[in-house]
Amino acid sequence: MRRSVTSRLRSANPVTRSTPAPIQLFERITGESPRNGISPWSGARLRSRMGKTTLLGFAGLLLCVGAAWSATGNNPVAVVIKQAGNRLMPPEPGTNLFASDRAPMPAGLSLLRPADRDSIEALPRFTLEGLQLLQIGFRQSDLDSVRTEGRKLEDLPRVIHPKFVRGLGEAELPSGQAVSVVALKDEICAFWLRVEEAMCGSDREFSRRGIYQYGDFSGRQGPWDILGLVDDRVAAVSARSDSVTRRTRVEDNVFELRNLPKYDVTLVAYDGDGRELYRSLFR
Amino acid sequence: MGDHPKSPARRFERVFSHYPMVAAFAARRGSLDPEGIAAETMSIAWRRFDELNPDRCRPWLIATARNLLMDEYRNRDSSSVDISTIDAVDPDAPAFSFESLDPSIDAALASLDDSDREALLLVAWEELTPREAAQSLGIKPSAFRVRLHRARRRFKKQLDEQERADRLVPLTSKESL
Repeated sequence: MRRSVTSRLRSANPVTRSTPAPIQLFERITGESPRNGISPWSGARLRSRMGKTTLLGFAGLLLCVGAAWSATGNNPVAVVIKQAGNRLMPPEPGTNLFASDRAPMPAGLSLLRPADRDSIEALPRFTLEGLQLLQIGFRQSDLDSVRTEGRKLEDLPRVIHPKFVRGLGEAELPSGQAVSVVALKDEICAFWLRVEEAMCGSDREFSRRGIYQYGDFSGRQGPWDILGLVDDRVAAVSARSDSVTRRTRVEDNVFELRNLPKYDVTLVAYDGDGRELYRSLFR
Repeated sequence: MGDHPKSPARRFERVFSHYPMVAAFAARRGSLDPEGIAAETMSIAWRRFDELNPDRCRPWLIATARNLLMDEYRNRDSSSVDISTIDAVDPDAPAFSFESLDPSIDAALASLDDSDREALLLVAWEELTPREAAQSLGIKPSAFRVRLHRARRRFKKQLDEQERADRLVPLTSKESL
């Protein structure tokens, strides 16, 4: 699907001829000093060192490729390209998700229940697809080679990392918006099913200030909304700007605040006694 | 100032080499003055050059051009806005216009919401990597991947439905069009 959609779109690209960059404009722009007056030597030593390291890394990589080719008879570059092609064909969503009964559930998220194979398979399709996308990443050894051998991240083969699910939860907001919450081995994710948005944060991020998505979910360039996942301490939240204040109670750890301005909105979280717990600024 | 290979002007050449990409981005989003948008983007990039990595500046350039494009759209509409109808809490960003070479692609794109459409076009037309596109939109790469996946699915569904509908139109009525 990916290839056909992208290639069809590319074939309909209305602007394929590139406008040449006018040299007079370059001279006019660079005729003035940049704002902070950059020294012509700033960072030069660092870049020189990085350049040498990259050259050394590249030479090392060439040696490794040559050695691997002669030892195995397989062109390592061809293998990498083949692996890259495989990433276009991921398995059925959910097949690389495993329930873990040993990992502790995240603290203060009473919405979550322990996961098992059946409950994972019963997750909504959008949630499963979102989780599958989160599994696509790089091998650690390849990531290390970016630093040690100067390889480019975009050239690395993608692999699918199995994910361990600690807990699952589902909630429904007063607007009817259903939410899936999934605690993975090292992060917590919320999937907003009607607007098909997803967000994830580490346990630490989540316990500090919850995790939020802020944006236009109407699809018509309307006012913005905040979708949020917070822990059990939070009983209510408000969103304030210069011109508007909106409040909502928090049920089942999730909430949404709608019709907000696009800039400079402060979200304030309150406990059951109305005391402020924390605030976050969206701008 | 500009002769030394490490001078700001020489390093800025790498940023400036993206001028055609920025102009094309503005043209694809319906700008009346794409070269003007690209020139202003480059001018801002020079003023804020100390914050830019010349080798990874494409997301920043696209985000800046997008903001300038929004200003252009707002100014275009400003003469026809009834002040009394403006909701102070809802300063809507304008939707960009676009016109591809294929009417069926246009129809399918028009059916998408703005965020889905932008995700698709940043990758297909601007040829940004998903990571760059996420940076230009100010969201996490994982959120962008989900958005892109959703957009591709919706776009393809829309295209398929159109093609099915086209096949159902009798030849005679098609000819009469």
